[in-house]
Amino acid sequence: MQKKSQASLEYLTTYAWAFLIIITIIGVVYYLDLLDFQRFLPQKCTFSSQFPCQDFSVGDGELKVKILNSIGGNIYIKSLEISNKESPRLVCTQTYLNTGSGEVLFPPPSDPLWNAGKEIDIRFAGCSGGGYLKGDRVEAVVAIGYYSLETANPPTAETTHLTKGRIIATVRGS
Amino acid sequence: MSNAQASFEYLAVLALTLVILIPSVYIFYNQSRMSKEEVVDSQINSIGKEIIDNAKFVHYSGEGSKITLDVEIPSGVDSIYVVGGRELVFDLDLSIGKTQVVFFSEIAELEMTPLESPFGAMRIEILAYIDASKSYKVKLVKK
Repeated sequence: MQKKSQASLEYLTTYAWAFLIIITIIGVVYYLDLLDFQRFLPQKCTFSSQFPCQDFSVGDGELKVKILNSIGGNIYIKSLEISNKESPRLVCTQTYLNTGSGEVLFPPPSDPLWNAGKEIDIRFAGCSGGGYLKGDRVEAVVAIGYYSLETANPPTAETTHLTKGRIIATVRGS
Repeated sequence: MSNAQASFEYLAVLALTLVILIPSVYIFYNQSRMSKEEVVDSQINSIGKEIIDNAKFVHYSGEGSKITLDVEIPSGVDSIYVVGGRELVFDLDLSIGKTQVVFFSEIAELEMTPLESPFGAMRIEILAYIDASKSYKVKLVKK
């Protein structure tokens, strides 16, 4: 009787120790950030095939992206937004747009024209939050609102469309 | 002693397996999720161009001409509709949120009953006709 109870107790104690060691190891790994598998994911800029991403860079408090108009027609840019699903969300205080005639603060007095087959450069400045830290991986969603005057002039809510793209990159910094 | 050695080796092999397996699963899952959306975009692009090109052909072929297309609508498409007679719009709901893919048509007489939550194999008929107000139209109909 005593041997059986001793064996049972030793069995339980052994398991408890093993469990404690495993939990401690997991805690140490988590503390040392060794579980961040995102660093192994490639950097990407993915937009729809109608607005392919030509280039991008993230760093120094900014996020820049170069996009081509492959939709097959001239359009006007209604809105440019950037965000992500982190808490707190990624916020950029200023947006600049260059459609080929110089960089302007967005939104300008009138919706800028984006000609078919042309590239635009979008620069989101003053970015913070949402995982935007030097050396860390940040995922941002860029939303572009646009319309075509050939469909309706003036544009309506129905003729104003929204396309979104995702940028995953490591934040550079000096 | 040999029991302890066996136990330790077992734990070491198990730990090594988990260290290799868990990051691999995470990376492959992320890659497949993003690749899936790129596939959806590619499919939508192909379908939209096919519809627009055939609508243009039907338009120039004259009243009564008709083409039937068999398309495969991927998941993630909320609705398909025509705006202003010349824009074919696909509303998508993807992991990045709600987005739209729009195809501009050279002809401005497109009409279509909006399709809600279309998914799977679908037959679309493109028909040129004169409507009640004597206007020449190209209609997209789901069969």
